[in-house]
Amino acid sequence: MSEFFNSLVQFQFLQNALIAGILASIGCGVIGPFVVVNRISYLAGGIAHAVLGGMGAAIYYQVDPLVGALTAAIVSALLIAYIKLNWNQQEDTIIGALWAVGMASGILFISQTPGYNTELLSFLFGNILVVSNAELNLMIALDLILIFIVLVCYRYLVAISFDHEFAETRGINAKFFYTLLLVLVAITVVLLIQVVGLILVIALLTLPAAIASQYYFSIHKIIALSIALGLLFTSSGLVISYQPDFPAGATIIVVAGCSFLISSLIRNPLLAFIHKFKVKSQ
Amino acid sequence: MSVIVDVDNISFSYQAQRVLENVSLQLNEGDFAALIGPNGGGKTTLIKILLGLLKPTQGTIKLFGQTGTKAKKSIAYVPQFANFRRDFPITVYETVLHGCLGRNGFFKFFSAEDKKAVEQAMFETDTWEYRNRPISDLSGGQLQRVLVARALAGKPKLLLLDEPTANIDERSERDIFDLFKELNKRMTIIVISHDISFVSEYINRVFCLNKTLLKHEAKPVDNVTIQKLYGEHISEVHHAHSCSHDRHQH
Repeated sequence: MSEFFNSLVQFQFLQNALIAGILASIGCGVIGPFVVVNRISYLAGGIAHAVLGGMGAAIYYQVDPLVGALTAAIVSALLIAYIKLNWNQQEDTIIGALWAVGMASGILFISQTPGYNTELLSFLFGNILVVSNAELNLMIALDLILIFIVLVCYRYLVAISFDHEFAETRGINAKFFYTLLLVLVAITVVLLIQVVGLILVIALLTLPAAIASQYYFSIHKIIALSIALGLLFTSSGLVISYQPDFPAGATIIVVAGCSFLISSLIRNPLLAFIHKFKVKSQ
Repeated sequence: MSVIVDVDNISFSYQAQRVLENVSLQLNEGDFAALIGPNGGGKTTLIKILLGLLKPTQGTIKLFGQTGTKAKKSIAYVPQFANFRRDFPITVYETVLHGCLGRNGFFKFFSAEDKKAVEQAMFETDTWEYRNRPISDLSGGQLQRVLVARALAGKPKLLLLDEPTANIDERSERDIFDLFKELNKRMTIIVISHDISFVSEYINRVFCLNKTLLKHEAKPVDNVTIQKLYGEHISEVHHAHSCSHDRHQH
């Protein structure tokens, strides 16, 4: 561990990696709880995998891959929202098709781009150790957009997630806010791709929120704990993976997955203990 | 007495299936009306049309003398349980606060006045003591009171209740209807119910709906109407007149 901290002081790439982890944690902590309570991780998966099409096209046309990813993510979010809201019966088939076609077209674009084939793995599984300053700036901008929109629309997003019919009776446009939620998920997916890649993105989006929702019964509290857990998982994953040279993204997900498992096992005894302690101290 | 609800010859279809046909009804300020009829008879559809969630294929609706969505802020709705997941992470207080949505501007957060209205609604429905509990911890009767509190937080003039006591025990049902009777002193109420005998102790108007309106008078529901409504023989409904309300005509 000491070797990691010595290197952290020395190397900018490691500092960037740590900052990228922090920025990704904020994004997944703010949006993850909405994905979990709306049970839309499948839709988020569709968006994440369709992103490869945008990244592949961007590389082929020599544009920044993250710009291609962001465009593809938002377009696929809008498309999925439209399908979900209007073609309910064929929803899973169409989203599955979008998922696969997005990935396939990305692979086709990348295969036709000379010299870029090796980058495919880093798109799929992420490479937090090569995040540039420009990419960090984009991540900061995306985080600020997410925080601003969620702060302004928090009560509406919670209302449509909880009881969309009642929200509509109060004059809230549930379809608009559902579409907005999927666009926010798309932005978060792009944020997280740098850290864990598009295959593992769903795990980082949902696991911290799933753990937090075992302990809190308000979305704002779940958001706060999800951000803290995201920070813990990305930082500890980075530290653990550094010395044995494990892939950082995969290590982060294994840490998050094990934490979820442990939390699920100890939740009930832990809450019973806390309750007992509270009663005793009263 | 002013007309609060004016439904004029509306029809509604789900694709090819006609659910409502030429329905007209009027409700006056202070009415407590029951909407009864068989499953699939169009009761919930009519409520959803009144709420603006569905648009009729024909006919017009005026609420408080206005058409369109202008009157939405004065209407509140208590749904059946099934509209949301019971394990959703939300406290009782936050749930009731949702009743104030749409009262302020888009960018404005809940105001002190909203919070006062929530507090008042929660005291009125006896839900204040469990305001910090998650809704997943509540019994059926407690949850139903929370949903009523949520509806009251918006300070409505018209309260629409869609089978508000489905799936709760008889004692809680009576408590909740006693509360509605109290609320009826300051607002007009429409309730969907299957229990004609029970609700007739509280209401002053009854509308029997099975695609079209079979009866819409403030008179007792007789055997002929019930047979027309449900398509089978049902014994005459007898009920006690415990309600001393002047307008009760059963």
